Amino acid sequence: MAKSSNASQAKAKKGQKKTATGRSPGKIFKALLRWLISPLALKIYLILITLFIAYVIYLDATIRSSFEGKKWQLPARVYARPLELYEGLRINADELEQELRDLGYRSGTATRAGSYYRGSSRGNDFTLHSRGHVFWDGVEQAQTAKLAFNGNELSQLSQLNGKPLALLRLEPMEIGAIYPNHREDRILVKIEEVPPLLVAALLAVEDHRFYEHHGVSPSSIARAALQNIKSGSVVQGGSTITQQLVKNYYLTRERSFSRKFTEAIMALLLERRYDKESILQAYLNEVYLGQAGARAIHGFGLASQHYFNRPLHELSIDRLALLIAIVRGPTYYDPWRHPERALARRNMVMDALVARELLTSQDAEWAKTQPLNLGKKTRSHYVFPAYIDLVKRQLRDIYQETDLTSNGLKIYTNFDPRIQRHAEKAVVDGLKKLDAARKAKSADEKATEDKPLQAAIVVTQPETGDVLAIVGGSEPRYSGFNRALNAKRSIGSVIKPVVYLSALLQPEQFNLATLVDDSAITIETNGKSWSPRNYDRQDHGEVPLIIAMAKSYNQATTRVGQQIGISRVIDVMQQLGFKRDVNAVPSLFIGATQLSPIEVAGLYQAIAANGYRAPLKAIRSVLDNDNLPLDHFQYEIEQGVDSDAVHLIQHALINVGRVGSARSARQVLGNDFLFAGKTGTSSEQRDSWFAGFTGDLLAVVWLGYDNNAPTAYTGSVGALPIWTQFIQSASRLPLSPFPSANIEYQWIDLQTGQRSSAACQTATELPFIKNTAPTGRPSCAY
Amino acid sequence: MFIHQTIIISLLVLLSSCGMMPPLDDSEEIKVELPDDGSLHLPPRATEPNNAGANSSSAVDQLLNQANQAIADNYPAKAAALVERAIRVAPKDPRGYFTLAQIRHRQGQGHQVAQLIHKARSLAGSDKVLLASINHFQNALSLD
Repeated sequence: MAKSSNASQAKAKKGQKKTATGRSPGKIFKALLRWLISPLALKIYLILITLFIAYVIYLDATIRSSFEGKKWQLPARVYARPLELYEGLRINADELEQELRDLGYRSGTATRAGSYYRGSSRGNDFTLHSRGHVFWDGVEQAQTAKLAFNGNELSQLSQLNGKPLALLRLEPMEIGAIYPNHREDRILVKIEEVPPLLVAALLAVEDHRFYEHHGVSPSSIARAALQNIKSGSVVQGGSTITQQLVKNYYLTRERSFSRKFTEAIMALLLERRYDKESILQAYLNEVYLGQAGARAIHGFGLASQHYFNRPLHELSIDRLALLIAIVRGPTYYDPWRHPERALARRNMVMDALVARELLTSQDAEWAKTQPLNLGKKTRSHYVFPAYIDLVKRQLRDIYQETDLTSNGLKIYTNFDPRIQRHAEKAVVDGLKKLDAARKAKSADEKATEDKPLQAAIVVTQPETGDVLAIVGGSEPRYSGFNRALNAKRSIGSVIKPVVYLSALLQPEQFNLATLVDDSAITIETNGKSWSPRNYDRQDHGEVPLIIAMAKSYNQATTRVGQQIGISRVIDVMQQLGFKRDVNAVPSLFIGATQLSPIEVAGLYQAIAANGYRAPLKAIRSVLDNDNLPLDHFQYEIEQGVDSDAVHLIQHALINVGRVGSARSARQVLGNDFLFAGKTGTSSEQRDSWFAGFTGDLLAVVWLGYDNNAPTAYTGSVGALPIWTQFIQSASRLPLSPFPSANIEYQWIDLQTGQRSSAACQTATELPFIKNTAPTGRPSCAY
Repeated sequence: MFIHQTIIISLLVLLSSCGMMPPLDDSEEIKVELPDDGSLHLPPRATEPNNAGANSSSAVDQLLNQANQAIADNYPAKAAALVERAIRVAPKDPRGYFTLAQIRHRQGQGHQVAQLIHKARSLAGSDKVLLASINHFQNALSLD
């Protein structure tokens, strides 16, 4: 028995290979086994398990801390003014249609929210189905309305059943956003707001076992691995929606085993902590779906706006399928850069939907015939840098940077896209014409040949001070130096209405007929003498105040300024709303001070509004991300100067268009379209200005070179034509001065400044503050 | 309440006849009933409006009525926002400024009340009903 045992042991030994150390693998295995169950190994296990549990706890805490509450930094969104539709609104059919297109409305029928029908042959009748929107003052419900236009006026507004409709407010156009540093952008959607077909399609294509697995799907991983081995490359991913969410939300794009391991654990934890709907909703908002310059497009809510310029719930099957197609590779399937790839994948998505019986083959065949139907690539509402500058400037007075870049605030502004379009066109066209003329003459200064002539325009509503549009330079859609806000330039004669207003505020001394001396003048200041001269180098003797302003006489203005005093003129500037300090030198009377176009607009706003100044305002209200009201920038006015004196200066400014330096504008706009304004030209024509207003718009135009080189343009030749084109296209209401009961009109002989008969050759009818008009018997000089 | 109101109106008429307010044409005395239910006084649109845009009056009416409702619901800030919309629709319609003045009064913004009343009066022209309403409101303020 012992012999036999020894024999078998020898046999077994014979069958074993010797290791290099002389020990057989069996022995090593046994030794390893012994070590694995040794006390030391058990201690190591314990440490490893403890570390693993700690790691899991850490991951769990990471998930909870960021998945509950605010998940993303949301940029503040900036909106234009909502278009209020009512009978009498001065807008034409084409302008309404442009607005609707900018809002992404579908044309053809008005059966769903966000659609319209326009009568045949670009007719004047519309049926419109608006979208609802939450505003600061309440919810505007979606509704259907019929509209009719008569020229530049909305003449009829009614409900579909013919009953009158007083007012319909459209939702506002988004014009920009204020992004966090990482430039991620998204519009959050709730799962119940997402079309069910999108969710079903997403799951069908990306993770059809979503509702069955617990975060990780071994069968999907195995299937993907098999596919990848077969094809020799990575053609299929095995990640679940949960894993994709974890990867995008918490981890890097690094491809490593450890990252995969962490991803799997976090996916399991996420599924344990949260329900499927929460995970799906987070995925719908997190997934990366494209790039717009530096801005990263995340989530289906924003992708819908980015690719189709309309909200998610309005997308058709083919558009939904395209979004699903893009998920796999937003760059590879970029529908603008690779339309054929995107189209092929979109159709493949539709096939998948048919296979899973989410779509009938007939519907799929129809949807496949559709082109990509993309919206405009460069969304017009993201390219108003000059206006957004002003919005940011005004917001930063009350909000911190983090509030603006991460809390999803909704900023409602006074920006008017219609006015902005006209302003941009006027600037671009005006500069083009001047450039063509300059090239034709080829006599411009060498120093400026390679520098583009620049222009800026600020447009406001005269009564309310709402800033409606801003152009900051010759290329309005590109951000850069914003001349409308930041270029402080010599304003030249644009200041003169302030000087004359200061005089007219002393009615016992000055009225529009008061003769002022336009002879040469020399002023001694600090040992230096200063002798302003008229533009035409002529002296004009005694002229009525109204003519001195219309003709922009420097000598007369300086004498009037000297008479009333520099400090008084500065006081009036401040009463009109100007806030900075001004250098109190006599040359101020003819504009030797630097203001930006928006500051000039501020001065003229109070003049246009009969002496009531209203702060120039870009922002109306702010809502938080849940549409709850945060701030309302209320309308405030302050009577800065006497309305009657302002009425007189308005009349003088109207006269600038009749007999003064703005006659060319009157020729274009017509005698019946009343406006008031003043040209300005700085020394050596370095700056060309026109500031003026009508019944509905106030606009200030500046033109010049950034390097302050001389131009070939006076205010009349450079800025005024731009202003005129803008007003001709955008303004719908001529100025209609509204005198108080304290104003009376009298006929005056402009040669003498005395009362005259209406029949006199040089007679004109002028307004006066009661009891200040010239007395005496009317007579005629001629 | 009715007696109190009647006394106030009588006082207002008496004060206005003392020349504290711009004089009205004596031949056309305007009777103004101040609301006694806490709502705003919304004067009717002028029969001969200035260039405020007569066609926009329905829109302005609706917004002013909504503002009145907001006041009744004790939402003065919302009421102010609605009136500001009315002012944007018709910036030269004095009713918007007058209504806003009443709201600012409820919000305790005395300085703005005075400015808005001034503005409303400057745009009222010969609208005697509105001028009478403004006068009465202003007088009532002085009695507060």
